[in-house]
Amino acid sequence: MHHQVFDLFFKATLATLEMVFASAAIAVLFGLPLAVLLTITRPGGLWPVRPIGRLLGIVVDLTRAVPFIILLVVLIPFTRFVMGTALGTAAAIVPLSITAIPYFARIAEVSLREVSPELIDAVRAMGATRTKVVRSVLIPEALPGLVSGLTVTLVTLISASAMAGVVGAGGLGDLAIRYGYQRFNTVMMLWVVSILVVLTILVQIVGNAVSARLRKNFT
Amino acid sequence: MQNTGVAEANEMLKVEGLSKIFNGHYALENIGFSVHRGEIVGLIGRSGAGKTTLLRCLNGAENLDSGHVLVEGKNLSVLKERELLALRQRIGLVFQGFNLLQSRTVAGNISLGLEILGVPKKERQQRIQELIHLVGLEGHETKYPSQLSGGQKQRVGIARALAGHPALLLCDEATSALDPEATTSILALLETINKELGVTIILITHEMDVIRRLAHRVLVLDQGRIVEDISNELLNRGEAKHALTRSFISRENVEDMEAAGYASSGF
Ligand SMILES: Nc1ncnc2c1ncn2[C@@H]1O[C@H](COP(=O)(O)OP(=O)(O)OP(=O)(O)O)[C@@H](O)[C@H]1O
Ligand SMILES: [Mg+2]
Repeated sequence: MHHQVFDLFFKATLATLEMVFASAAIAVLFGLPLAVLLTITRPGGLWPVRPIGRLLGIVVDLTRAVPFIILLVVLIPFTRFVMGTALGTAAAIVPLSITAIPYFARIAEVSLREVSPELIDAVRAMGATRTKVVRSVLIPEALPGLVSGLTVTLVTLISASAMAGVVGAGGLGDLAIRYGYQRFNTVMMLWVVSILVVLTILVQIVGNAVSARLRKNFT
Repeated sequence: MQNTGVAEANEMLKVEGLSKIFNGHYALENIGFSVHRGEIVGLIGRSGAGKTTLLRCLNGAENLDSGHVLVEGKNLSVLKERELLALRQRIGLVFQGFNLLQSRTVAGNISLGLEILGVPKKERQQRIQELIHLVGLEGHETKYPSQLSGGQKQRVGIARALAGHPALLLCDEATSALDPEATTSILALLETINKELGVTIILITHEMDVIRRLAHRVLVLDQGRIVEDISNELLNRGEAKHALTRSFISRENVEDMEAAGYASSGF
């Protein structure tokens, strides 16, 4: 591959990785507490305050119902407000995070719900506060599942980040649009697709390995 | 009438007029008994009799529909949430299903009991070692529950329950998930804990044999009521009054016979 072209791909891949991992980090930061709240506010849960659970559930589901491509456009003013611009890699992190937060929250919620209610009840009966139960029981016991959920979120973010190229987000999606689509450069397009596929497979392999490692001690 | 100070100090637990209603039915009805410090009391009854519910009431995990529970003279119903959490830490709990964290090692699971008590990190290590020694799990510190036998898991559960030097240990079918050998070893451990640490023990079971081997006294629960409250001594002399108590004893004999190789007739 030509040196300049390689450079182009290298930079684009880095930009994609930056977008994907930054938004995944934000998704965990906000999505995990959200998932915890969704879980513990269920009837019979650790903190069964139904109105809060219902309200959060509605917000999460509404956000998830909006197609990403529409969210990208709708969020432009918000992105401009937060980042000062709606263009570029950093700006793309805003819409990507906004879709990834509820997405991860719902996936994480499934894992958290699988933690034995009897165990939670038992630790609570031993005199643990709710916060202690969340930190020492709920999250650690759900960790292998949470890691799998994060893997799925990362994979989804890789494809979403490519889509963000449409609105000038930079990264591999941007390359595909500018060279592959607008200039009919099929080879470029194939390269972009190949890199995306490889990234996805790598994330999946690492994610599965970490999850399996954590699950090793679980029955 | 005034209680003497001595009598009060000697009383670990007092239950009076306790009732608990689930969906319009009495799960527990007018329960009353008291337990002395250092006593081992067995609680026996058929499935659904209300044993677990009663134990949960003793721990303040259920709101009572009437009556009250006094633990070391403190009325659970009037305690604030914070005080209740503190009191629960004075009570050790041992469960049939162990309820260990899969994500933590033996030492980590015992540590949980100490963390709940707010024991500082540097003091935990020492106490964990003491507890591991007490329950005979030396060499298993870094194993995960999935690598342990049932009896070993229950030892971890007991160590965790003892973390805060509890005065009272509540065991819900602590041996029901164990084979006879592990049952024997766990019963021996509980006896040691009672004798050497002076911990009062209330033990739920559906096997009369467990009670005979360990308890000083037995409460028989049937459909939410205590139908018999009798010392082990009187029980062994065959002085149980209630038919249910006698049926538990005779069932035990049947089981003994089956174990000894006599085929049970009929079914
Ligand atoms: N949270 C609850 N809500 C409604 N009913 C309940 C609840 N907990 C217990 N019960 C009912 O109360 C009764 C007593 O239950 P409990 O679990 O105390 O019985 P048990 O003696 O421990 O039985 P087992 O030997 O099967 O453990 C049962 O009829 C049960 O269905
Ligand atoms: Mg029970």
